[in-house]
Order: sequence, then C-alpha cells, then structure tokens
Amino acid sequence: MKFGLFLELSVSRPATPEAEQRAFRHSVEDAVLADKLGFDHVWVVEHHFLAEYSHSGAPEVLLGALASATERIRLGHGVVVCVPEINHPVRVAERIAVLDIISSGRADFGTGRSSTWTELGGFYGDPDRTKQSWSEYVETIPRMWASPLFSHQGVTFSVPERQILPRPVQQPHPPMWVAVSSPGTEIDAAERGLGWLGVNFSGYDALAVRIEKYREIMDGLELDSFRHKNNTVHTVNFLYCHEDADYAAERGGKLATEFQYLADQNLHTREVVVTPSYPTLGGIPTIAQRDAGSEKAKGVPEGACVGTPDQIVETIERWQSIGVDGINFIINSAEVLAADEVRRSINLFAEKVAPRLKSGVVTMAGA
Amino acid sequence: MPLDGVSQIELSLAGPLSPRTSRRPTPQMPATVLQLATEAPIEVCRSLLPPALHPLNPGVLVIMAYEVAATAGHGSFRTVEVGLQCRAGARARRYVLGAAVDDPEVAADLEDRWGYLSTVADIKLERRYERIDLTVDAGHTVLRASLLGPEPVTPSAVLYVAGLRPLVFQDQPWIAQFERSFEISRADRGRPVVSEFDSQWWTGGQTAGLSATEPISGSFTRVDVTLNPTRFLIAPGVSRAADTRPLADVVG
Repeated sequence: MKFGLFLELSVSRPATPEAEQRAFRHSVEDAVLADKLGFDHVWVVEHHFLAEYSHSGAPEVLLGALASATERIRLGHGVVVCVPEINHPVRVAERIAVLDIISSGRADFGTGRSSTWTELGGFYGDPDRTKQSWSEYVETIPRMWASPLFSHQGVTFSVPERQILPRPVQQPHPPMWVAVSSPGTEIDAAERGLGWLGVNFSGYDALAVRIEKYREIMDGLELDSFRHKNNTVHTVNFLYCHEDADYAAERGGKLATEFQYLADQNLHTREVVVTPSYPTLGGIPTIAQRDAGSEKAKGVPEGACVGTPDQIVETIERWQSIGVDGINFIINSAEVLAADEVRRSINLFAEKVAPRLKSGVVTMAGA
Repeated sequence: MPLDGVSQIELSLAGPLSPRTSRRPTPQMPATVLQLATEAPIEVCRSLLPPALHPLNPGVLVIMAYEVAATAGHGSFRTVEVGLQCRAGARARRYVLGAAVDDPEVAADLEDRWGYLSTVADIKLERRYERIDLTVDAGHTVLRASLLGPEPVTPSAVLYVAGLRPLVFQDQPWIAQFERSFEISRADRGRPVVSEFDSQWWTGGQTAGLSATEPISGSFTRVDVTLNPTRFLIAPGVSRAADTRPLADVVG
C-alpha cells in the first residue's frame, strides 16, 4: 500500500499575499515531513481561477522547489490540464522531463482535462474537445520523449518536425496517470495503460466494480515499447488521525466539510454546458455523508481516513480489499486546521498506521 | 470563507405562501423549453442572493422560457424566468429573480396556488432553422435573446436544476424550492446571445447592474413538464441554507 499527499493550496478569503505565502510555505513543510516519514508521493494539483479552493496555478514551480527540498518522495504533477488553450503539449513534455531530471527520476505525470467551467471558460477552452485533446496528449507525449525527431498533425494540436528537449531520466518515461472522477474514465485509463488517480470520493461497492473492469482491460493490454504500463489504482481521501475517536471525528469532519464547501463554489462544466463530453450524472455529486454514528461524525464521508489509528487501519484494509493500491490524502483545507495539528496527525499516521499496512515504511515519528 | 449572498428579501417581491399552496403536482404538460446560461458579474450576483445562498465562481445568469401547449385545463401560454445559478448548501439551485407570463389567468393561478409571482407581458418564442428567438415586451422590450445554431444533442446532456424563489408567510420571508420534473423527448443545443436585458425590470428595481457577459451554453427541448408541490422552505438569513424546513412545519 502506498500513501501520498495531495497539496491543493487552498487559501481562505481574504487571500492576502501573506496568507498565500503561508499556504505555500506550509505545503513545502508538509511535503518535507512526508518525505522524512516515508510517504511515497506528494501530488501538487493544477487549478486556475478557483478562489479559495486552490491557488495552485503553477504547480511546476512548486514541484521544482520540492525536488530540491526532498530526497526520496515521488513528485506528482497532478494533474496537468491537457487542453491546448491552457497547456501546450510540448511545454508539458518539457516540464515533466525537467522535473524528472532535477528530482533524479522521481516525477509522476498526472493528466486530466478540467472539470470546471471556471477554468475552461476562463481560457475559452472548448468543452466538446477536451476528451479528444486529453487523449491526443497522452498518446503523443511519450512519443515526444522517445523520438529523436517529433512531428504531429493532429486534431487538437499539430507540431512541425522538431526535437523535443530535454528527455526524462526514467525510461521509457515517468509513470503516467489520469484523474478519474466520472464513471467511465477508468476505462479510458486502462485502454491507454494509465494509472488511476482518483480525485473524488466513492463508495466501496461502486469502486470495487470499476476497479475490476479496469484490471481486466489492463491485464490484456499490450503497449508499444516506448510506453510504460501503469496498472495502479490510487484514490483520494481525507486524513485526520488522533488517539481520541470523537475528537478525530470532529476535526476530520471540519476538514471534510470545509473542503466540500470550498469545492461547491466552483462552477462544474456539466452543470451549465450542454455537451455529451461532460455527462450531467443527473445532478452534482457531493461527498456521501456518514448517516450513522455520533453527532461529531457528521460531515465525515463514508470510508474517510478519519479516526484513531485502529479505525484508520480498518478503513484502509477495506479499501485495500477491493483493489486499491494507494491513497493520497488531503490533510488540510484553507488552513481550517492549524499547521501543528496537521503534523501531529501525519506523525501519528506514520507511527501507528502505515507500518501495519505496508512494508518498508521509514517511520520517524515525532519528526 | 465562501461568499454568501447579502440581499435582504423585499416582501413586495415575494409571492404569497398560504395553506392554499398546492400540495399536489400538476398533470404532465407538453411544452418546449428554452434555457440560456451566460456568465454574470459575481459581485452583482452576490448582491441579489440572500445569505442562505452563495454565488458560483463565476456568476451565472439563467434565462428559462416555457411554451406550454393547450390542454383540457388551460389554453397555451408562455412564461419566462430570469434567475441566478447558485448553491444552497452543497446543492446546485437557481434563484429566480423575476418572471413574466403572457396569460393573466395563468399568472393569477400560479400566484394563488403556487405563490409564484410574475408580471403579465407579451412573450414571443420563435423557432427558425438557424436560431430560436425570445422576446419579452412589457410596454418596452425587457428581454431579447437567442439560441444560435441549434443542433441535436442527447437529451441526457441537458440539466435543469431546481428553482428557488422568495415567498412570504405572516410577514416573514422564506425561500421556497420550486421543483419541476422534466421528461425530455428531444433536445437541441446552441450558443446563447442576450442582446437586450432590462436589469431593473427583472430584479424588481434592485439593480441596474445585472448583465449577461460571456455566453456559456443553451438548449431547446421538447418536454413533458410537471410542476411539483413545494416541499421545503429555507430561512433566507441563515448561511449555507442550514435552516431548511418541510413546508408543513411552517404553514401547518
């Protein structure tokens, strides 16, 4: 079982320069701590215009800083918005390669297409074409790294014959992932040999069926020699670990509620744009709330890693039993929890949870 | 903290809520529905929403026009609503700011049985090959908008979110959920254009600043629509729609 952090860089209003600087500083400190404690991944999201929810408009810069500040943790650029109006694919290939070089082969490459109109509309992106552009990016970028000379006449972008430089350290290329939220994206992932990077919350049963389908396609997939198959399922979760169950539920519930409330400010493409490319799903999904337990547990989603070490072990074992290989944690939201409190939670997790679920974890409790 | 609305509901702009408020759905009514969504200035949206609701980023203006076919119970009529897409807690909703109906009897019935406040106006919804035009005239043109380049799309691509509107009961304002069920048999989509929009008229004189800025998307559908009973009321002054009650708890 692998564990990682998702750094969202959320900043509460009013987002003063000092508040933004503090959020970035705390994120670097959290990543350094996670590196020392044996976490496997730190992912930095890419979002634009999402006030409060995420001020992470240039993750490649922060990842450069993390490459320098950490020693062994893998660095996830996740996810790069694969839409030409936002990121040209050649620039994406260059950025991932540089990150891989300066981190000595620790880069992970997350891909996606943006789910909000706030972002797509802000760049005048075409919602009808994002699935197509994403597919074209994930097919061609490995070829950019593998070919001495690259050219492409495509549907969503074209490039005349050029050398795409530099090349990544990892061969044939850094592990590639796709953000999976809507049902069906896991099929797109499996058909292209991409890792499943879960970015929203799902119940156990629904996820188990989807993972089974993903594995079935992956197992039968054969890729060109310049492509790396990443048959891996990582989900996202909240983390709040404390020895007192009620206290953990209260604090973890606060974290989950705040995160959801900030997310709800964003305008989802499927809410307002009439396009088959973003199915309506019959409504806007929200985090499934626990319907049982104490009043303090309200706001804590089902399957959340919130509770005592024993409770979290039990929760993760259940995720593991349905085929999840790793979990990336949201550890704070708009600093609704104090930085020290977050670190106590991470330390306790590393000391009393992780060693029971994985081998080889380097625990440095109290770091 | 996310941006809550800051508007205090003016009772003169709120519809009547009474024990006569319908507790039964209407029969299904065949209709065509034009929905146009554009961006709108977020601070203006915030100024028009009560504290229980919060605006989206960016603000979203939604225009909905219904042309309801004649049935045994009534003749054909047209209605147009202007509202803001928003959140009530975590839920997507559309807060109706103003409405027009072209049949005085229907307008009176909607007000009496549903607490639905509207102004009688001349409404034209005209379908052409390359566009669908909507005009509302209330002594002067208060809305002129179009859906350009309609093209067929799967009906499941169209989403209608539940409406909210202000009501008053015993001098206290409430926000009522105004639910409609749609069975969509055909859908077209296109690009929305709003060429004339009288902000003062549609907002009951609250602001001249509401405008359609960037186009987002539009649809034109053939539906069977049912107007469902009002089930829930939201206390407008409580953030995040945290004080939401069943209708019976308030009205009895």
